[in-house]
Amino acid sequence: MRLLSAEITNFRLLREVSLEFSTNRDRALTVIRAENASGKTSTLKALKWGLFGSKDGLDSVGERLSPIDWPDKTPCELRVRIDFEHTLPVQIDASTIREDTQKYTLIRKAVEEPTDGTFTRSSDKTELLHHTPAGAEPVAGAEARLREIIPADMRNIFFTDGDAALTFISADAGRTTKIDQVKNAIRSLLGLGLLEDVESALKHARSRLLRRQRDDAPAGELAKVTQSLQEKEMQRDGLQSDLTQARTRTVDLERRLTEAEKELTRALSLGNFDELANQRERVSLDLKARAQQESQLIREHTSLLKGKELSWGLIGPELSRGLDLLRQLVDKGIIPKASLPILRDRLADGRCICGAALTPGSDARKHVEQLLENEKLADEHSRLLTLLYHTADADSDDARSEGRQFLYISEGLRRKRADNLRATEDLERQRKELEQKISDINAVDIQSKTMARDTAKSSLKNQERRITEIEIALRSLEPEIEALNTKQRELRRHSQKLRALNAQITATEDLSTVVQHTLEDMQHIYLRRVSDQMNVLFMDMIGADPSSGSVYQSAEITSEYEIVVNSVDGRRLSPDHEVNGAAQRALTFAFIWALTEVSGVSAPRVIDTPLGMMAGTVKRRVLELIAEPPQSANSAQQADHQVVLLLTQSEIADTEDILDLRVGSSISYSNTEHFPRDLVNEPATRQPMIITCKCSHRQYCELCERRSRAHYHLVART
Amino acid sequence: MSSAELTTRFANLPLRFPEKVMDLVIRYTQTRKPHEDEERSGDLQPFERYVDLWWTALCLGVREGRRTPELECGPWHKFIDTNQILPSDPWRAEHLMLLAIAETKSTEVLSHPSQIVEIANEYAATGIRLIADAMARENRPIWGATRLVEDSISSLASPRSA
Amino acid sequence: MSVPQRQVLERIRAHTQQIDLRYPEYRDDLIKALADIIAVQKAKPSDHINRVEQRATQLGDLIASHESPEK
Repeated sequence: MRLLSAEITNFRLLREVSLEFSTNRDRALTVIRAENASGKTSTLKALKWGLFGSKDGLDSVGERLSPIDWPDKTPCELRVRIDFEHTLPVQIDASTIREDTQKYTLIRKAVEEPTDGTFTRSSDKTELLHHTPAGAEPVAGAEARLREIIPADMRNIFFTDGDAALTFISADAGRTTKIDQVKNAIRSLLGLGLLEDVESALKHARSRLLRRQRDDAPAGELAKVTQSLQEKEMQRDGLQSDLTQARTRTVDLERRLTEAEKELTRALSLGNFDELANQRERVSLDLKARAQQESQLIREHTSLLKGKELSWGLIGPELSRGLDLLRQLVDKGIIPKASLPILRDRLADGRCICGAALTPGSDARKHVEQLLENEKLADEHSRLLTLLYHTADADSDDARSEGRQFLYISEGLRRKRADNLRATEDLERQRKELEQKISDINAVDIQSKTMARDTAKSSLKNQERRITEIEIALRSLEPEIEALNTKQRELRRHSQKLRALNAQITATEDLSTVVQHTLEDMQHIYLRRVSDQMNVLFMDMIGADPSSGSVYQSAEITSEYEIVVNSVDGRRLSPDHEVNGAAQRALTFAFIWALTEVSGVSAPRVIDTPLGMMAGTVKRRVLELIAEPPQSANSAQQADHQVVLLLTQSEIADTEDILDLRVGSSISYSNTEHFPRDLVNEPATRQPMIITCKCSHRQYCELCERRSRAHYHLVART
Repeated sequence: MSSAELTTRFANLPLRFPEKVMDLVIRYTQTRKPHEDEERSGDLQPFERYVDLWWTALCLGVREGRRTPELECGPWHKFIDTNQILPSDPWRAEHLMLLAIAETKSTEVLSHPSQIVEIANEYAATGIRLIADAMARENRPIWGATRLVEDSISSLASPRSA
Repeated sequence: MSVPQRQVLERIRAHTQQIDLRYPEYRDDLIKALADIIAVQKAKPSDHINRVEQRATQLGDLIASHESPEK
C-alpha cells in the first residue's frame, strides 16, 4: 500500500489539511514538519482513523476527535480522505509474476457533537472507491477490503508514535505485558494472521462440532433409548408370560367351572324336586286309596257285626234247638211240611220245591192246591209255626257255616285291615322320606354347589378380564417398542453421524495441531528473523555511536519474546533501564522495522517524532535506515516503500543532507495559536487550527516562519 | 222273602236297654257321632244302630246263659219299637222266635210276642256289659267287640275254651 | 497480503508428520486441506470458518470411512 494523498477535515486542529505523499521510490520520504502541539499526533491519529476506523484506529473510544473549540450541540463532520495505491503480485504463469497496482480512494466520515464537556460520535461511514479505467467503483465490504490491504493489527507498527513504541521495551509496562506485546506484534503482524484465523476457525469449528456432539444425540440418549427399549421389551416378555399363565389358568378355571356345573346339575338331578314331588304325589294318592280301602273295610267290619253270621255264630245252637222243636212238630204233623206262602209261590212259578213241574191238571199241582185249602182252615198259630219252620229250615243249613262264616270274614277283615294298615304305614314312611328328601334338596348341597359354580364362573370371568387387560397392554406396548426401535435405529444412524462427527472433530483437532505447531514454528522462525533483523538494524544504528557501540554486542528477541540487549562482556541487559535513551529508541525502531520487513507487508511507515531523543550519529543512521527500502524486503515492499515522518525542526537538525536526498514531499504545519510566540507572521485566521505550506525541512515561508528559523539555518521559500 | 211276614207278628214291642248302660250304648253306636272323622267312627263306634248293638248284646247274653231282669238292672230305656226295626232285618224276627222256643222249650211262646221280646231284652241286658267291657278294653272298640264274638264263637266249637 | 505460503506449507508438511496416521493417505489429505484453507485469499473470518468446516467434514468422513465398521 502506498499513500497518495490525504485530506483531513475537522480532526482537532486539522480543520482542513491536505497532504501529498511522495511516491518516488528513491525519494520515498514524506516529511511533515511540525513543531510540538502542531498537529503531528493528530495527523497520525487521523490517518490511523481513516484507515482503521473508530474501532481499531483509535487508542480509546472516548477520545474526542473534533476541534476543541467546536460549538456545543453542533454536529461536526469529521472526514478523512485517503487516496492510495495497492500492489499485488500476480502470478501469470510458473515463471512470471507481474505486479498489479490498483488505485483506491478511501473516505471515512463521522459526525461528532460536543455536549456539555462530553460528546457523541456517530458510527463511521466508510466509502472505498476503486479507480478503474471505467471510473471510480465503490467497493463492497470496504472495511474488509481495507483489512486485506492493511491488517488492523499493523496499525501500531506502521503508524508509530516514537514514544508509544517504546512500550515494547519500556519500563512502564510490566515484563509480561512487554513480552506479550512483542509476541503479539510478531505473531499477528507477520503474516501469521491467516494461520491464526485458520487456527481460530478450527477452534471455532471444533467447538461447534463438540457442541453438536453434545447437543444432537449424546451417547446418553442412545443409552437411554436402549435402556427404555430393553425395559419395554422385558415388560412385553413379562406380559406375554403373564398371558400364557393366564391362559393356562383359564383352561384350568374352565375345567373347574365345567365340573362345578356338572356337580350342580348332578345335585339338582339327584334331588330332582319335581320327581320327588311327583313321587310324593303318587304316595299321597296311594295313601288316599288306602284310606278309602280302610273305610271300606270298616264298613264291612261294622256290617259284619250286625249281620246274620254273627247271630248264627253266637246263638246258632239255640236257633237249632228251636228249629229242632219245630221239626218235631213237623214230624208229628202239626206243622205242614210245606209252607203255604212257599207253596203259593211255587204254584205261581209252576215248579215245586222238589222240582216237579206243577203243570195245570198235574197231580203235583192238585196236591199243592189241596194243602193250600187245608192251610186256609188252620189257625193263626199254626200258620205262624208253619211259616217259622219253613223259613228257619231254609236257613238252617247255613247255621254252622254261618258261624264259621263270621270267623272267616272277621279273620279276613283282620288280615286285610292289617295289610292295609301296614301298607298305609309304609306309604306314610315313604311320604315322610320324600318330604324329607324334598326339603333336603333345597338345603345346603344345591346352595354350596351353586356357590361353587358361581365362584368358578366369576373367577373365570376375572381371568378373562385379566387376559383382555394383558392383551390391551401388549397391544399398546407394541407401538411403543416399535417407536423406540425406530428411534434407536435413528440414534444408531445418528451415532454413526456421531462417529462421523467424532472423526470430524479429530480431523479438526489434527488440523488445529498442525496449524498451532506451524504457527509456533513460524513464530519462532519469524522471531528468529525479526530478532536477527532487529539486531542488524540495531547494531547498525547503534554501531555508529562510539559510546554505545563499544558497549552493546547485540540485540535479540529471546524465545520468551523478550527484547534484550547483550553487552559486550556477555551480560544480558534489560533495555528499559540498562540501555540509554537513544539506544532504546533505536532498538524500538529496529524491532518495528524488522517486523515490517519480515512481515512482507507493504504499507507506509508513518512515524511521529522518530528522532527525538536521538543525537548525532544515531539519528542520522536511523534516518538513513528508514529512508531506504530494506534489502530483505520483497518486491512489493520495495515498490511500495514509503515513509512519512512527522518531524520537529530540532529532529531534522543535522540530518538535512540525508533528507535532501530522500525527501520526495514536504509539508509544514503551523499552529495558528503559536502566533505570536513562535510564529512570526499573523495567520489569516485566528481560529485555532493548523495551516499548511509546502516548505521543506530547509525552508520557511510567510505562513510557517518561526522565530527560531535562524537557529536552523532555514531559507525562505520563493 | 216270606220271612218278612214274621216281622208282622211283632207289633210295637219295645226293644230296650237298662237305663244305666245307655251312655255306653250311645258311645259305641254310630247314631250320634262324637267325632268329626267319619272314617274312624267305624272303629270307635262299631255298631250302626242301637238294635245292632242290642242284638250282639243279646247273643252274648245267650252265650253267657243268663238273663238280667229289670229288677236287677234297673229301669229300662226303650230305644226303639220292633215294628220300626225288624222289617229291615226280617231274619231277626225268625231268630227271636227260635230263641224263644229254645228258651221256653215250647212253641207256645210264639203266641206271646212280648215274651219273646222280653227274653231278648233280658239277654241283651246281660250281654251289653260284656261287650261294652270288651270294647272299652281296646283302642279300637270294633276289635274288642269282634274278638269277643270270635272267642265266643270259637268256644262253642270246642267246649270249655276261654 | 503476501504470506510466505510456501514457507508455511513447508512447516505444515513438517508438522503433519507428527499427526497419527489415521488412514494411509491421511497426512497428505491434511496438507491438502490446509493448503486449501490458507489459499482463501479474500477471507472474511466466516469464509475461513466455512472452508475449515468443509475441509474438516471431508477429512472426518474420510477418517470415519476408514474406521472399522461398527453397527
